[in-house]
Amino acid sequence: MTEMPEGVESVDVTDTQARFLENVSIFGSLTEDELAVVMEHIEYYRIDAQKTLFREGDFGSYVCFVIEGKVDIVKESPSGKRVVVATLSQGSSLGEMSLIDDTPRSATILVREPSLLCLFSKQSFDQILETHPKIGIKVLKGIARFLSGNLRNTTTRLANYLLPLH
Amino acid sequence: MKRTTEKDEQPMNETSDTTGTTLNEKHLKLLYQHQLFGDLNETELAIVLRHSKIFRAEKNRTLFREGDEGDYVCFVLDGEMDVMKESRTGLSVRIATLAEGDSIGEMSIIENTVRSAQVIVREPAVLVTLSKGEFDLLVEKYPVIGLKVIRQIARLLSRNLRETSKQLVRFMYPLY
Repeated sequence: MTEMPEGVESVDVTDTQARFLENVSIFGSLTEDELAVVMEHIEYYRIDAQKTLFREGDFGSYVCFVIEGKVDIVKESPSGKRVVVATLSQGSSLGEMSLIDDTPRSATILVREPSLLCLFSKQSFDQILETHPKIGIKVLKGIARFLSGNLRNTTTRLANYLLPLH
Repeated sequence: MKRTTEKDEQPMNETSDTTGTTLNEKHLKLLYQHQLFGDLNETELAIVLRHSKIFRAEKNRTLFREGDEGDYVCFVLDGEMDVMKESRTGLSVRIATLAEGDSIGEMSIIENTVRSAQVIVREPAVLVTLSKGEFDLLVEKYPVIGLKVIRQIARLLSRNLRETSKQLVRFMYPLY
């Protein structure tokens, strides 16, 4: 079980809520049987509004999906100001990078509305890579696709700030 | 990379280009040290090379154009390549130069992509390419090698994303 901050409560979910994972992009290419293997490793949590799930710089050990609610991704700018870089709602994911590298969290997660989250830990993922490499490859490809799309969007947004508007 | 020098002149594999281009000690070292192959041992890298193509490219040759379908990753082992993009005015501008040890199009072995820039040979180059089709075969036969390479691609993307996000934040409005 992943260690969670105060205000985060481990819960059981309904089958309907669990089926949510079928629509998660990084699991998109898994067959039903393969997804069942992943599901055995998923943890579910409820978290209250205003709580911090984790902070920028924390050690990250899981990817997290928003099943219900809304969370803000907050980053500190070089001047020390906090900016909301994105707000995530149902179907969004955060922390994909922590499944593949050991670098600290790149942003803080502040809960905006009470949320139901599900977690897939790096430890579980490493185990699946060992026991089911084919599932591991599909998930890794899913992560790469996700990161690649995200990188393209971020680069475009950055370019919009950098280019003169005329 | 530990290799005996007398093997330098031997072709790496039967799929190498018909011009008989071979990889020398330096080329192998560059590949071995490349981030994409960071988790592979020598035997595993040799298997990857069996699925790759080696060729020489002459100066001014275009490797691919912006908008082309991309289905391979390319490693520069000798020479230089210019990465060109068309600006708003319609002029082609150089956005980067790739030197030995650099690569381009890593994502193309995971999914079919559209090339976002043109790549032109600036100085006569020795290139190694790995196509999506060959990589899929490799993954099928050697899932552990496939897994190690894909994980490194994801790590590379992750690092680029972190860097880009950091830059973006400088331009955004504060929350408090």
